[in-house]
Amino acid sequence: MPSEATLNTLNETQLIKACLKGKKNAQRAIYDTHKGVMFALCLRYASSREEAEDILQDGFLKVYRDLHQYKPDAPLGAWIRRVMVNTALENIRKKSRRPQSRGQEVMAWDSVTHTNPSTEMNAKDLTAVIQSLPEDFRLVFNLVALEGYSHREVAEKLEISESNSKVRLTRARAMLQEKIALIFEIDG
Amino acid sequence: MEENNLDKYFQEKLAGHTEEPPPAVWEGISSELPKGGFAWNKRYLLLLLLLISIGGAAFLGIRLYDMDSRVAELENKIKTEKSESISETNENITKTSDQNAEKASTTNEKNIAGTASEESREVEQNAPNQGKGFVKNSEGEHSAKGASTVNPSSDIDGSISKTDQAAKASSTFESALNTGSSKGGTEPILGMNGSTPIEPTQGQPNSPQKVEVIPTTAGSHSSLAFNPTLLSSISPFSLVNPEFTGREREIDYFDEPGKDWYLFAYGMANYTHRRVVAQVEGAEAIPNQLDKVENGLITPGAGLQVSRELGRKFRLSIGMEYNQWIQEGSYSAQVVFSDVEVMINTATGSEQFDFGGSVESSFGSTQYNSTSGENPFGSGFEALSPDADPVEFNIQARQQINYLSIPISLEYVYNLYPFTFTAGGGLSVNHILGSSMDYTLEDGSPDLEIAPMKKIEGIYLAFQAGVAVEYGISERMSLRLNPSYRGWMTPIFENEEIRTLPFGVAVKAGLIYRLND
Repeated sequence: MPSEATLNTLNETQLIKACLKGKKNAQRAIYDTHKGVMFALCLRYASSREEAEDILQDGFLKVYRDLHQYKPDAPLGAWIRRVMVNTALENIRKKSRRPQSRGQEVMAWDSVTHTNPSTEMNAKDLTAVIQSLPEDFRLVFNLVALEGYSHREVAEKLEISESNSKVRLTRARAMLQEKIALIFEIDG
Repeated sequence: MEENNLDKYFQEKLAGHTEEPPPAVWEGISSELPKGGFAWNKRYLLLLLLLISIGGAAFLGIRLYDMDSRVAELENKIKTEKSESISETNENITKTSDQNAEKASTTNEKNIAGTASEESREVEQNAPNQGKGFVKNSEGEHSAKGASTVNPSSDIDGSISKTDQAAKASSTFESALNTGSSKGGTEPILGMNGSTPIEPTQGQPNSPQKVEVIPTTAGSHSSLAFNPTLLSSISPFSLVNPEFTGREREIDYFDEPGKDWYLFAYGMANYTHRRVVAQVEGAEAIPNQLDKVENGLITPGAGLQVSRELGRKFRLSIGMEYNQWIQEGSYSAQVVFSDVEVMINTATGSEQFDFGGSVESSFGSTQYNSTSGENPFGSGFEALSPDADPVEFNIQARQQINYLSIPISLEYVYNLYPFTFTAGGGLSVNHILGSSMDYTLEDGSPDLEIAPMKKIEGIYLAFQAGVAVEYGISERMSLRLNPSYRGWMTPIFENEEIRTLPFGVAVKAGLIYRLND
């Protein structure tokens, strides 16, 4: 098994090869490299931190399971990001089958605290604002505005019509503007 | 803020943003990772299983085929040897009887009385030399091999003429060859007693049953030929109805056994349903709920199957079938106050009510949404309140899957003319040709836009088992009725909560035709 020092000197391809052989250190190295960005992404899709942790865990398990399908013509980070987005969507679909507690969205919105009133909102605040959106709007906003998917792709992924995707995005934007304005208003 | 500016603002602020996940996440991942990595996935395992099954069936088939070939070869050899042996024996018997007659005549000239027994004893001594081929007796004469034993304890009537006695000795050999023998050719069954009739030595009366003597190997011993009427006489049918003779089809048990080819053309009625299995804790309610609202239908199908006998008791079949699976479901949907978005056009004052939801079926979920000017809670806007009752409506769905099956099966065959009974099973490779899900809405339901369900496609494996009864209507044709069970091994739909495994019962009925003579 490669040592920690050796792993540091391995390039991405070698790391993937070691990972495919089931080397725990290599798997850990890939996780450490991408965990921060991916967790931030999961937080934007989830309605709570716990849900984001679940998505991150399931997503990385899928990454290791399907790593043999990865083609090195695109950066590994982009591929992991795609896996993570799909996992988030699956997770949300799964959740929607179960009885929902409608308090979650309110909790997320309540947790938005503008950390630095004198300046602009930081990434953490904006993440909380996104989290506070209703699920349907949150997903469309994340996919279209932040991930760059087209409405057609979103329609396929969410199994909705394109027009519905557009409507949801418009509403999501309107709600975000409203919420941001409200925060600035409160902060004074 | 402009729409594009808003997106840009978020993109810039969130670019490169990282959040440290708690250590428990890695612990969770680590505990679920297999030690050797994900070297195998389900698809490879199923492929391997399929190859092993096909390989196993082929191996079994080849082994049985070889066994049959060897048996047939051996039987042909036995037949050839038998006919050669009989003609050779007849030749020798003729020779022996001529010599005996000659000898008897010579002796008669010397001493008519009291010496006949010596000649007879010579003949008696030659007979036990069976199993060693043709051996010379003390006087260099030939004796028949392995056909029969002359009873050494027989009394010789000295008063008989020697010519008659020699002739009788000759006829004794012939009769031994033609009428019977004892097991292994070692127990004497025929006596030679001068003028007395030949009697079985074990005190049993001569059986009228035809018994053939067949030297099984190069003259080492003899055995009884297999007689199918003996087996059929103890069949269950003959026990129930003594007049039923259990007459076998015209099969010569020593002619090309178990090499027949059959073609089975059939139509069938299928009843297919599905089993929904909860995959995670907390999802158990989903299968129960779906079982209440989804029903399988009986559908028609047709197929063609080719079978090859593997020995007398087995049959290997491969076929192709066209099948349908239709399932109907009635899914209830509810719209509550919080689901409805109301848009008011300030210019015109018109209202737009939007809501959406999902249809959850055992084949996956699909989304529906509604955009209309009608308030789903009633005609008046006042009705749209948190206290309003949910609006309920049903979505009727009809799921249809058309698939082509390639069943490969091995059957045990029991022949009892005019019936043949079989029992067996095997694998079935099912290729989905197409799937569709059509929706209809009950009267009074709001207008909905329902997204198409994700198509089901690909190849799925199933196991099958069944029994069949065939009734011979002519030398080559039989009617066949074949009820069978088919359980799919690969789920037709799977997510993290449930997986859907179809199963079904089919009754195939058709004509089976023997291809070779």
